Amino acid sequence: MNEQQLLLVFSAMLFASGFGTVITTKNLIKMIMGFQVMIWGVNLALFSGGLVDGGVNMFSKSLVVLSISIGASVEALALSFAILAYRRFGTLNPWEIRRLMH
Amino acid sequence: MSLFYAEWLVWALPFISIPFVLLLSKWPKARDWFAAAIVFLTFLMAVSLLLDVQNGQTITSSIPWLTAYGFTVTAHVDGLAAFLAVVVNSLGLLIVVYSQGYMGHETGLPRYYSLVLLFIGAMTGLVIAGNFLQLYIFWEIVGICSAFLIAFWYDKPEAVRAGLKAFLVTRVGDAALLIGFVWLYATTGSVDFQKLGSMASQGVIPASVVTVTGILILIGAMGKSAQVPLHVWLPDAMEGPTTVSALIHAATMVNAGVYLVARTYPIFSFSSTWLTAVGWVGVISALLAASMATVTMDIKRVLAYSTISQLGFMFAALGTGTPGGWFASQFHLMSQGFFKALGFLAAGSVLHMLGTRDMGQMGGLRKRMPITFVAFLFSTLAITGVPPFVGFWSKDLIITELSLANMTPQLFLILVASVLTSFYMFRALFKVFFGPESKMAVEKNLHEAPKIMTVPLLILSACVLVLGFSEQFASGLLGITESLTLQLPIVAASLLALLIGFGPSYALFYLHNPNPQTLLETHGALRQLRGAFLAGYGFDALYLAVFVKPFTRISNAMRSIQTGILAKNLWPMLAVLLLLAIWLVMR
Repeated sequence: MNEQQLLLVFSAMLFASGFGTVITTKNLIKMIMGFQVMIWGVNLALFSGGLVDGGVNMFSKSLVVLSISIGASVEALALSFAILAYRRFGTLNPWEIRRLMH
Repeated sequence: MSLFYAEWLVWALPFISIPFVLLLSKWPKARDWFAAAIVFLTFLMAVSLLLDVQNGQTITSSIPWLTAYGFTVTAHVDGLAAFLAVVVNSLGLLIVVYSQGYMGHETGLPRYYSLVLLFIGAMTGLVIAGNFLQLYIFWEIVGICSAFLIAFWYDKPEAVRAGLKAFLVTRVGDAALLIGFVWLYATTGSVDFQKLGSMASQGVIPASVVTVTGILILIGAMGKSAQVPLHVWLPDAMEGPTTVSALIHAATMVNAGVYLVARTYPIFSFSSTWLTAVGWVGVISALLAASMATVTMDIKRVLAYSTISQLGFMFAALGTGTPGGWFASQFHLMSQGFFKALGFLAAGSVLHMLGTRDMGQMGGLRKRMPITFVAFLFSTLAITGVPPFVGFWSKDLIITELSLANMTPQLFLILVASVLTSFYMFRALFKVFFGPESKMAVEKNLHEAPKIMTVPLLILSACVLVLGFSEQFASGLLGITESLTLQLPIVAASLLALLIGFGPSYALFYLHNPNPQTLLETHGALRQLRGAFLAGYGFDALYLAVFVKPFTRISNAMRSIQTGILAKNLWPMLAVLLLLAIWLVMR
């Protein structure tokens, strides 16, 4: 198994663990954390795609940096939504919040 | 004597200052005046740019951007751009000052002022942009700002609907514009206005591509400038605060379409099909909108239809294909901006004090609100084209150019639209300010609006009175060499149109002889006509039946799959991923 395949396996594992968190948890904060882990997996896959001898090509590097910064702002936004939802409904459980809406 | 980097700061400064508006929110007065001060600064910069380019120079400076694709960020200031920038920023300044009084008691003002600054900055950026890509970005910012500002009172369902409608309808045009300029880029490899213009004049671009992309870009302009059939968003946009309406109608949003057509004129005017299309879009809009304005009872809707109609005049002038017609459209844009801002701010001052937009509940307000009355009177005289108000000069210029270009059917229909213009504006004036004093005004002990609102009204009134004499300066600025003289038959025709419209309006709504109500009861045909006008010729009903209803039905059907719970929604994704993995292994 070469370097690139190793990285891809890791990225798949990260993605899967994030995915598992998102679909099983009943806590909004944990859900957002799961999302972030999924984004890490994707970033790692992007990064491994640009591997060349002795380094990483510029294009995939810049894509990863872009993705990280967008991911960070999305996470900040999501967390602020979670805080607002908690203030409004007094719970972080999405199933509970949905029940309260009706 | 250009100010420091004025061509960049004139649009970047409002963008930069938005966080400070939010930071200053602890001190509301400081925040509001800070916003006004920023617009004042950009106004000064726009004026300095105007002075720099008044003798036909251009200021161009660019920064490389996405060099691999040959794009740049270009600030390109020529006469047209500087002219528009001054119009946008001067009107923006007066409207922001007026807002201090009009919006003073509202909540959500940080949102209001930051969006207004973004709106004005984006519009200035739009006129200074040197290429299609940059223009498109500002174009979208202008669109989103207008949608948010129309829906400013987001707890009012009609306002939210109106904002959404504005966004969706202009989106149709935006998509056409995007396809149009990407097509041009794919054919020519450039998005720069100057380069494309010279390519078109050398005949490098195939004629069919010029026509098709030109029509697509025209559809974009029609969406923004609310021309038939994409006009349906503008009357509904009256749900927003009146200052926002004034901003949309006079300074920012709707002017973008006319500006785009004027800016791309050197590229597309070689196609006679395009010119004909531009002209007829304008003529039809001018006529239909003017007829709708004659029956509505909402004072702001009268002004909204009037905007569509006046923008139609501009498109009609652009359709002539002559430099004179091109100039006439831009001069009328400036003129329309000033008298429409005046009309809206005067109407805003009435409904701020009275609390209704229904003209049936107004009447006899001229004694209680003398300054507002004078302002609305001036606006009416300017829109209808009474000399020496600014509307007279600009409208006669359009009619002159149409007659010089021998476009008789268009000329005739534009004159009919002028008759209707005079009819509906005087109708509004008589209904609101003349006649017996309304019950509501007496009950509320109506009085004049505060100074902070009347001072901008007075400034604008002075502007519409004197700006007509700036025609020579403006034509020099926009690089028009031919002399623009008014011809006596044209002046006579347009004044005649004015009187033909004024007569029935005076009889019906001032003398009440014959009484409009009894006239409607005795004449079935008039009733039917009124019904058609009130329904807006059924455009709304058509769109509702063809687009909105089926979409809602599909959405409701999809609800069973989209539960709104992320965990549930992700299960199908997991299934697909598993299938993919199985396929990879089996392969």
